[in-house]
Amino acid sequence: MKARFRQSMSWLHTWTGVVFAWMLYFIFVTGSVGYFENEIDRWMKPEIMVSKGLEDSAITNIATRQLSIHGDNASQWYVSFPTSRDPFIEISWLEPENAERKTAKQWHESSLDPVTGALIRNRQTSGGEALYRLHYNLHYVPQLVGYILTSIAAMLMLIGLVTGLIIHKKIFVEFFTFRAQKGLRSWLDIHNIFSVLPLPFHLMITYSGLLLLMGITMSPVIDLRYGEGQQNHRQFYAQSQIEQKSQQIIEMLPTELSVQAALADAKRRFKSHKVSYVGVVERNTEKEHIEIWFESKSGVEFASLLEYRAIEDKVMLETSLGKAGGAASVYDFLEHLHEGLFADIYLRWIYFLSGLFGAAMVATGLMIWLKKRKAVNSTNKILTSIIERINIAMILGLPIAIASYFAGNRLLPIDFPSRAAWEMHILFITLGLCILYCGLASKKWLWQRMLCCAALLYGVLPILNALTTEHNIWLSWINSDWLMVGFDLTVLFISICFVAAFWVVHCRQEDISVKAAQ
Amino acid sequence: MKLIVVLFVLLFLAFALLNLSLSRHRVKLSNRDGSFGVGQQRRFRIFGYLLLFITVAFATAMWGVSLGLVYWFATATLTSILVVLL
Repeated sequence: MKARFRQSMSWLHTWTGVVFAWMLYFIFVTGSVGYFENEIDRWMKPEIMVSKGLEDSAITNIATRQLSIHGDNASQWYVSFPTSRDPFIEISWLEPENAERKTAKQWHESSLDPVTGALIRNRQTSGGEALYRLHYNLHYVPQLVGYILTSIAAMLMLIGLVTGLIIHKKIFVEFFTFRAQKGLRSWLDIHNIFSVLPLPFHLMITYSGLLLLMGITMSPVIDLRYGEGQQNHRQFYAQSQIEQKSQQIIEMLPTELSVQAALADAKRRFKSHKVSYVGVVERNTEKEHIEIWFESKSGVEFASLLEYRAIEDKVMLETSLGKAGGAASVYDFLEHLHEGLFADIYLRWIYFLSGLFGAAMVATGLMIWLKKRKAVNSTNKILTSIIERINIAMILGLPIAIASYFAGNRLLPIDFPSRAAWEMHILFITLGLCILYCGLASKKWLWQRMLCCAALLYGVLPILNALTTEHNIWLSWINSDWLMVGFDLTVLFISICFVAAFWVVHCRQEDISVKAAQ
Repeated sequence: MKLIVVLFVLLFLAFALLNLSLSRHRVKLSNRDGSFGVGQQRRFRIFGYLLLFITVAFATAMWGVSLGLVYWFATATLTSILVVLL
């Protein structure tokens, strides 16, 4: 009975893993890259000027001056202060819809020159955000389809993880085991290492990922109580996501209330916290109020909010204390754990690495499946060969495509029409070309050639950066523009990893051909 | 930062001890005659698990339960992979 149970679990593990494997790999890789969304954004907007040593009040002055020039009739204003992840000043404002010019309401954002206070014209780019969004919207498909497909993938991943745990007989004994040069055994060992050691991450990321899209996948449940359609669902979200707030009247006259005054007051109340951004919301209406957001590193909850509003002859301060409902706080907790916005640089790197381990887990799983399939004579050789080729194209083509996305940012002319969209097209065109190439080229050198190509592209990125902008590694270092340095060094390191992988594969192939010749 | 280094070193030690306590890896790492005694292996295991518990306590005391566990799991993943690689 027990043996049969394990066997059936093994079957389930194989097929839940294989069916969506390429998509899971795609999700893991793009999601991992997403942990460095802001850092990538900085690299893709080389015009940004890093701001250092300015007082928050000085920044507020510069920013509100620009906002009143460019967004005087805007309904919302936000100023984002320099932080270690976004070391620059950014303003954004919401332009209301204009019936005369027939424009819908629209967000504008711009970074500021910290010295002159002028707006900086950034190049159009999809940036880190679009790259990070890939892992749940899949870009070309309608949003809903993307959500549902990724949810299914997450569900299968969860089944894969649980069944994997069941069929792994010696999880403790083989915790550290890796036996090299043993063919299938070695692949299994690698697969186990990439699955078992980061298992807490895998379980957390898969389960929370599934939960985050629950509003979509479980929408019939919401339908039952609130009725179908977006309008009704909004009611559900409004009700379940109510914030708990404390209110108090503070010693300030409504006439004194300004962004500066609110900022000073907030800083007095929370001396140890850093302000991440301030906003003026619902401007020019009765409900106008000022928001102060803190960058909080004290827990997994990442930000806390103070709101100042004038009510008749008094000023009221509202402090957010988290979600009122229990379910919503669990949701919030898992969301923060998934997104890792609270993570410092150390945790962020481990998040990134764990994500890549997840990708490696999927990739090695596929390799094992292919090897087993090839060992059986009765299988369809042509089909297996096609899958094997696409497999190489996906595993190495995706990193290559991401590198070409970055290269596109530097190489597309600045005034290229719909430049941002084309950066993304380049990513997918490259991926398509990789699949085409792997489908046609001789299989013997395929791994090596793809690895070469990846190493070359990642190695070229810092050079491209130095040639097309004024940011070379040396200058960035002197200017202590750490995000630029970090990005350039990281892609160089990735390039070296690909070279190392090339070397390993190449030596092994030589070994095999020597053995075959004997 | 210092706290992370302490956590990292302790966890690395814990996993290294646990690794030594598992017989499969023994040949590579052990003294000349190729094996540790059974008693020695058990001591490694006890100290390994003890260190794991101590590090959990340390992390939750330093960062609070939620963030402490995140740091613990993250560092555990990193160190155990290092132990496998070395």
